Amino acid sequence: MKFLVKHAMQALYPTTEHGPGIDQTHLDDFLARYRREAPPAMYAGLLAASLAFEFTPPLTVGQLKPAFLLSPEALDAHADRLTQHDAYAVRQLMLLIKLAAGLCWGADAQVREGMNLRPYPADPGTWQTT
Amino acid sequence: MSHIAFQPKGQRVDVEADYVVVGSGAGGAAAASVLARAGYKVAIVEAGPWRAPQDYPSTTYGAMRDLFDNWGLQVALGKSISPVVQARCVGGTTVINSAICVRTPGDIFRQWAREWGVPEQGLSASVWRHQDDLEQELCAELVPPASRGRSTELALEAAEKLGFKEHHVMTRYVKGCQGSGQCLQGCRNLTKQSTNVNLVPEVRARGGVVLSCAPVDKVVMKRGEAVGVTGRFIHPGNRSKGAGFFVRARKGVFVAASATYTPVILMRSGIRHPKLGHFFRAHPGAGVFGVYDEPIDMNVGATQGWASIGFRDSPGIKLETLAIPPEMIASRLSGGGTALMSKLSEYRHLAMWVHSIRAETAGRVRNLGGKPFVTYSLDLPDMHRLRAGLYLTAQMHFAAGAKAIIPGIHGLPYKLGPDDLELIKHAPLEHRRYITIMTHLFGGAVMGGDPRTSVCDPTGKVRGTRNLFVSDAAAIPTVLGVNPQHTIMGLARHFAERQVA
Repeated sequence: MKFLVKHAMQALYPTTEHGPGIDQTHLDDFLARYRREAPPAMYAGLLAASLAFEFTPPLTVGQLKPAFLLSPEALDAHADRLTQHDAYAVRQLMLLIKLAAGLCWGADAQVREGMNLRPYPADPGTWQTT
Repeated sequence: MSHIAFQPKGQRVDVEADYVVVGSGAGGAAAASVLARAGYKVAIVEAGPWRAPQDYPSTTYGAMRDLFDNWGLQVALGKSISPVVQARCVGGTTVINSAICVRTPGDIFRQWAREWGVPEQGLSASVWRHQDDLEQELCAELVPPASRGRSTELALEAAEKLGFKEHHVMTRYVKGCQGSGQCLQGCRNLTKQSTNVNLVPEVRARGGVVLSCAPVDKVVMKRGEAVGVTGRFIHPGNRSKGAGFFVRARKGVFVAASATYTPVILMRSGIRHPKLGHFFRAHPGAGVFGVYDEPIDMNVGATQGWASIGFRDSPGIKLETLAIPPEMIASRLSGGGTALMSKLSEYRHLAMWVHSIRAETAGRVRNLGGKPFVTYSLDLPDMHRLRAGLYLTAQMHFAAGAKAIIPGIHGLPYKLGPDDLELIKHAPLEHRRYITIMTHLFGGAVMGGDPRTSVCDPTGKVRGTRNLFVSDAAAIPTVLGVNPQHTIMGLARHFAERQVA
């Protein structure tokens, strides 16, 4: 399943001439943390959305194969069309991937540098106990 | 011990106070401070952990994990899905909002009297007097010029060019804003005056006690009297359950757990009123990006700096600038793949201006397995307002010199030029085509003069009880058309003051 989630995220946020994609961030670490820390319903939603992404190319590019077997051009078209699909439920599912992936991609120091923003310091994850 | 955080399973924690206040956000902290200043021992019971500014996260991921209620997973379900943004920490939503300070408009008190039987009888004078005090205590000030950022400057220019009768630089509870653009993640610069850095510590200093990581299960009622609250600690890291707690209230209980949680806590406490959970309202919001030739760098400067309430009466909208962090922007732009990356490459040149509507729609909060379940579907007049707000915001961007705008309406082109504005004016009115968020929540346990329609009487007391009060937005029966924090705090102080007078 992790392969499918990663693949969907990489297809949605690819590296281009405009800058780094999600493959150039610490995606494995992020996904491990997300699975460990996010509410189960959120992670389950991400899995469901990734499954939907992988098995819907017939709806977008008319090819009867999963997204991970598409050519790079067809995969790119699939990613763009599925996120703008007329069916609201499909758009909402894709939003779950875009949102989770955005949390990883947008916090990356290299990405932020390209946006004229300083790198984030680490989240302390602490609270007051006394 | 004046702060009791998570306690592991074992012996139950028992605390006794004169008054128990459930929730530590705008309403809870404001009420608690009045009670404590009157010499009473107050116990504040907060569901989330106490994070001081040095504990605040930097990233949006961290904000969702550490500050938001259930990672921001709560939504309002209707014809579409709209996120409901609330915090779960000591300080409540004041930790993650922009601390915008707007006085309660006079027409609101008249509306409450006319439509809900809440007698004026000095109410407005009392709320405004408390708001005077709060502005001093919480250092309300204009966003300083050096911290406004380019987006705010452009909005000011646009409003002038379009001849807006009313628009202004925001006044916020922020002392010396440094323009870090981190309101959403909590202000690590210690300038934003969220209640966890002022009123809650004051209650402790006056002999009160704070229980954090302590979600209240129910208010314990005995023959119409609230005698305390019970619950079980939840670990803020691994969410494991800890010890049970009972906080005994000698004099009364104020519930201020938000417009979604307050009704559910009352339901769990056995309060039976046919309108409990009804009249849930909000200011649903949407936004338009302007695309500019010059870099805007919207995350440099205050998160929010400019607003207009000049359209509050007609068509019923409020306009604001808003910076959203890079992590969130992709979910606001359409598309995926190389097309999305091309759109994201314009980030530095985008300014986001938003509007929220003074919606007439009412939804409902239900108790689903002990959690709030919110249903809300914008009605047609409100959809007209939503669309009108997008049109006005788009007009502003072009007045400010934007070369294009991104309306975010499904079915319309991704970008529109000045000649395409009519497309927004005639855009379909299906809510599912728009990206909206539920901000500023009200109702669910509303106050009023008619026992059949109002859960609380005009003093905030829950009907059928002797000493159980609602002191947050849940008691407010209408939307305001302005940012609500100041009203929530002024009203909460008014309710608390009546009990100690």
